[in-house]
Amino acid sequence: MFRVILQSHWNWSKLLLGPGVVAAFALPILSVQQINEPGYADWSPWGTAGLLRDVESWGIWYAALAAGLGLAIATSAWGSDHRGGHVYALSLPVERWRYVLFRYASGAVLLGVPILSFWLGALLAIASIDLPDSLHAYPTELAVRFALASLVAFTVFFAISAGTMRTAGYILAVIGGLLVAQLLLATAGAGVDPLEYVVDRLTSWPGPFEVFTGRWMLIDV
Amino acid sequence: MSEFAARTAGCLSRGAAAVKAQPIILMTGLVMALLLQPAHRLESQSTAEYQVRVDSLRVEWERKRDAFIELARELGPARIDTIRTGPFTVLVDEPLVELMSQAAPIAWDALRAELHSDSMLAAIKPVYFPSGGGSRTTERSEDVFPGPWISETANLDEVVDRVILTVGAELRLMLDEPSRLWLSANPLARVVAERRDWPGAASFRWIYVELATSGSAVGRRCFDGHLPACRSALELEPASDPATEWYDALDRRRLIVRGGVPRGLGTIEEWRSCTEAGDDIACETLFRARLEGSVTHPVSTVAHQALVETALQMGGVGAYGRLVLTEAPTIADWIAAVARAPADSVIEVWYSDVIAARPDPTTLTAATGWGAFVWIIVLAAVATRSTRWRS
Repeated sequence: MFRVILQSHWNWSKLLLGPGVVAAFALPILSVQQINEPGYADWSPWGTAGLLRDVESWGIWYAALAAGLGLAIATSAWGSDHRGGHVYALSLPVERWRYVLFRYASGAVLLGVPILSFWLGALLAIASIDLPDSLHAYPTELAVRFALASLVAFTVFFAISAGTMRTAGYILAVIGGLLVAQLLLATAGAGVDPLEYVVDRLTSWPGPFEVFTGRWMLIDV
Repeated sequence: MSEFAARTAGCLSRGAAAVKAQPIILMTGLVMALLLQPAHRLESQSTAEYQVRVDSLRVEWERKRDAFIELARELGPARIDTIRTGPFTVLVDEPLVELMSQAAPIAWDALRAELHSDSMLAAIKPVYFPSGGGSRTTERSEDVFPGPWISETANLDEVVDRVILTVGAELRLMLDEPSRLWLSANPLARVVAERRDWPGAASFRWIYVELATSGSAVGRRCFDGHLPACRSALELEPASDPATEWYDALDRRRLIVRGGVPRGLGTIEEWRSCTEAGDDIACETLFRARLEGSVTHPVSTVAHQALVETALQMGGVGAYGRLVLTEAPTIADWIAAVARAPADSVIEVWYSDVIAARPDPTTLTAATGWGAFVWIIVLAAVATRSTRWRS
């Protein structure tokens, strides 16, 4: 049964997955392309420190790609169920949790393709440049982080999609309520910033989105 | 229901209707908007507006100061008590007497354990700590070192810290101006950090990154373990020719490119020859012209201060006394006297501390990895709890 679900998930997501795989492979290579240009050391005014800054500036794109891939795969996992009113799931002789797990596993397997592609891209990028002795490359660590970030994004959106409309409505209401509270407090000049507090909790350890923040360094000291 | 509540409910019900249409897209949009919300936009202000604000702040400050002085006059002079612990004398305003009676012996023990030097300890002047925001004025005396004000609600640890740090500030002022540059802002800050079990300064980590990405040839050679290069980078002896001793041709060119088109330092032709044609003679000419204005040192003062910290630790008993009292012809001799070891040995220890402080790569920490893994498991488990029945 897992094979059938995986096959159907592949059919629904291959158009999204194709560009994702290409982007994941190309991104690490593009991030070092500038360093790779002949005479980089001659024209880069900041030398090694500049090299690190160049590499760091690509970090936002790694995080964005991981989030985008997670979203795309999670959306495609439940798209046909939503369109078909979840009749297919009801017709199957399996428990709900097992069905959800199959869907989740198929998404995770498909996500493995761009992650593998990212890792190969990072290895190739590092193989193509000469690093100063004082710097080190972290292609595997970066690929593991990319994998975790993609899986976190995928799991968050997958969990929301797996819920009912009412659940999604509740989550949306909480977020909307937070925005309204922020607006009212700001207007009243209360000096309290609930939105900042919540975003801070979500994006700093042990929040779920902490893996997206900080420095994504393919090359570091 | 108020009008506002009705509007809010209307918005939420419209939001819920939208959710039914495309829940994932909306959810995604909101989550991404939360995560990627830009920083508050800064409004620019003209110099004139800035001046007006500064002037208004100055007027406000003067008004408050006058009010304080008036209040201090009404209250009359504060009563100052003297607290002695061994040869250490602390003067405090009356409300702080009880607190300082407990704090002074603790601070004194910590100072004695750190300074280990009778001559040094004897040189510490009595310190005066006012209370209550410094609103009361006292006669100033050259024999008394002015400490910061201490709140009457401060706890014992805070008062002990203040006393130690004030003596640290006094210690720093005992040095001449050039020597002070080699000492961190407060040489006894480490004592406070150790006493309170606070994380120590990350200076060696910082120096590691500085050397690993150094823009000077001598800094890079130092990073590679060439100790004479470290000696030169740390400027233990004055460089005879910084332009060639600290930097190579590529470094000089980089610094000139970074500095942009020269203004009054060389000609535009020289700048072009240096940056575009890579002519080192032109680069060196421009570089020397710039050196006359301001020297770009191969390492920061943080590295210098870490070297003195290393010497102090190597020096053990009496190191602080030698730090203040030694009159050495060169910095290298001064460092050697403080450490009671050759300057090269101090550099060797300093270098090994720098290399040992290599920062962990930031790409993926164990905490981040495990945190993400746990969230994946938890959220996946939550997803499996979803119901098959739609509503």
